[in-house]
Amino acid sequence: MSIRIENLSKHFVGFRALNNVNLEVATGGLVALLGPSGCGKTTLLRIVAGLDTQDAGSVLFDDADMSDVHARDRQVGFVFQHYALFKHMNVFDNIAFGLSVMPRAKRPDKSAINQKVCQLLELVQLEGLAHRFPAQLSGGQRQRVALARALAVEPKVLLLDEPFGALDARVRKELRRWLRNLHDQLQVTSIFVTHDQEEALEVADTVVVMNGGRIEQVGTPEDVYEHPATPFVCEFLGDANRLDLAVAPAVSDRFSAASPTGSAVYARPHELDLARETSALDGIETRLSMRRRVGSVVRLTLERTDGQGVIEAELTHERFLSERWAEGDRVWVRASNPRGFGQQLH
Amino acid sequence: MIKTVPSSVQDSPLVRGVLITIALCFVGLMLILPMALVLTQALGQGFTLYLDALRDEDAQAALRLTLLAAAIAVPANLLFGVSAAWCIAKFEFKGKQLLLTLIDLPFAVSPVISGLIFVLLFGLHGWFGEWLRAHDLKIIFAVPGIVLATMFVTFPFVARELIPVMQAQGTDEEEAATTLGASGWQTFWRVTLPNIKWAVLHGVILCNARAMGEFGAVSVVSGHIRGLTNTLPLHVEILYNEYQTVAAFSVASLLMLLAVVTLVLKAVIEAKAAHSGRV
Repeated sequence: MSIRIENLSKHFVGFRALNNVNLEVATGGLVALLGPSGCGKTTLLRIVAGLDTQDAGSVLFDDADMSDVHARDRQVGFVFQHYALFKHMNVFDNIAFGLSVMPRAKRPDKSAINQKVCQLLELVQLEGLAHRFPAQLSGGQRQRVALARALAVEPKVLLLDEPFGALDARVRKELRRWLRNLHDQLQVTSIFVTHDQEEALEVADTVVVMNGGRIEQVGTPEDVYEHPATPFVCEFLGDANRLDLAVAPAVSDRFSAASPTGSAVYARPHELDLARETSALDGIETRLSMRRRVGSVVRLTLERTDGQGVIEAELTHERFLSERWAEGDRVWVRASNPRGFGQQLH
Repeated sequence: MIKTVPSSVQDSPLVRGVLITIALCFVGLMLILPMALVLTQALGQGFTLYLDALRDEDAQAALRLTLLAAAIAVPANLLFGVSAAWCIAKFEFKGKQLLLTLIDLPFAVSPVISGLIFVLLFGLHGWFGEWLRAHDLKIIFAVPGIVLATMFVTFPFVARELIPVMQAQGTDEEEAATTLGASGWQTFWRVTLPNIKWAVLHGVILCNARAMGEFGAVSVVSGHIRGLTNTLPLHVEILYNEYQTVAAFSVASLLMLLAVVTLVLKAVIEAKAAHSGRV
C-alpha cells in the first residue's frame, strides 16, 4: 500500500510540531524519518497511524483519505519505542492479541491462531519463548515480540517509532540488519523514525530528513549524504565544518571566487586536504591542537591561526602514521569536496 | 527479597536500637493495647454473654444495615472510581484539575459536615424536604440517608488509589491494543483492567473498611432508631452510653475483626501486586 501525506500540519500548545508536510511513500518502500528530537518525526508517524489527529492536511493510503478512519481500522502495525508489550500476557498471547480481538465472523479459529503465532515466532527467531512474560525477556527479544505482534494482523503498513532506541549498541546493529532482511522478505510498506543517522543510512531505501516540523530533504541514503539540499542536512548527516567564505576565501577555488560575502561552504572532516607547506592563498592556516584515535580513524582538532574557531579533520590511521602529524604542527587545510548552498547566497 | 545494607552506610547500633524501641513502644501503646482491651472487656464475663450480645436483635439489625450500606456504597464507588481514574489518567480535558480536587472533597471536610449536607438537602426543612414529603419518600433518618452518607464519605478511595497507578502506566499499551484492532471495551477488559487489578482490590478493601466503620456522617443522618437506622458503630455508642459495657465491647470486637481481616487482605494483595510487578 502506498502512503501519501498532503499539506499536513499539527500544533501543540506553544509549538508547531508539523508545518505543511508533504511526502509520498511507494508500495513496499522502507523509509526512515530522520531528525533531531522535537523535529516532528514521531508526531508524523502517530498521525499516519491515527494515534494523533492533524490540524490540517490529509493522509492517504492508496488514494483513500484516512482522516475519518479510526486507528483500529487503519490496518497499520505500530511498534512502540518502549515496545508497549502487554505485561500480564505471555509472548504467545501478546502476539495472538490482534487475532483474538477480531470480530467473531473474521476471527481465525484456535488452531489457525496457534499456527500463525508459531510462524511469527519462527520469523522473529523466538521459538521456545512463547510462554515467557515480557519482563523475562531481553530488550532485543521484546522488540522482536513487539514486531511479531504488529505483523500478526497482516498490516498494510508497518510503522516503527525509534525501534532500536532503547537497545545497546551491539544489539542495535544486529537488529538493524535483521530488520532490513525482514523487510526484503515481507515487502510491507514501512516507515521508521530515528534520530540516529547511521541507522537511517544503513537500513532505509529512502531517508526523509526533518527539522523544526518541516521536511528538509527526501532522497536515497547516498543522495542525502553526498548531495545535501540544505545546510541543516549537511550538518546533521555526518560531521561537517562550516567555513565562512568571507573569512576564508582560500578554502576552495570552486566557491571562493563566485560566492558573495556572507556565504559559507561545508566540508566533511574526511574530505579535507592537509599540507605542511603551502602559500597563504592556497588554504587555511591552522595548528594541530589535539588528536584522538577512534577505532580505525584519527580525529584532529585544527585551531585556525586567524582565530576563527576550529576545523575538525579525520584521517585513516595509516595515513596519519605515514604523514607523521604531531600536536603543535602547522597545517594548511583545503576542502577537497566542498558543498555550498544556493539559498545562502541571498 | 532480602537486601543487605553495607555497614559503611548504616547508622550506629545505638541509634538504630533507640529508633526501633520508640517505634515499637508507640505501636504497642497506641494500637495493640487498645485492641487487646476491647477483647478482654468483651470476653471479660464469659463467652456466653459475649455471644448473647452479638445475638441481640438490635445488634443483628445494625449488622445487617452496615452490610447493606457497604454492599451499595462499595460497588457504586468502584464504578465511579474506575471511570474517574480512567478519564483523568488517560485523557486530557478542561476541568481535569477541578475534578481531581473535587474527588478529594470528602477527605477534606469533617464527616459531620458531610452528614449535615444531606440533612440540608433532604431533611424536613431542606431543599427537597417538601417535595419528598409530598411523595412520601424518606431519606433522612432512614436507610437511604445512611447509604448516601456512606457513599459520600468513601467516595475518594478507589479513584485515589487508581489515578497514580494509571498515570504511571501511561497509554502505550492501550494505543498498542487500538492499532491491533481492539475496541475500547476490549482494550479496557483485556489490557487496562488486568494492569490495575491489584490497585482496584486495594482501593475496594480500604473503601469497604471505611464504609463499615464510618461514624460521623452516618450519625448525623441516622436518627439512631434502634433496629432500623443504627449501624454497628452507632450501636456501639448507644450501648456504651447505656453502661452496657460488655455488649458494647462485644459489638466493637466485630468491627475490630473487620479491621484485622482488612489488614490481612491488604498485606496479601500488596505482596501479590509486588510479585506480579516483578515477574
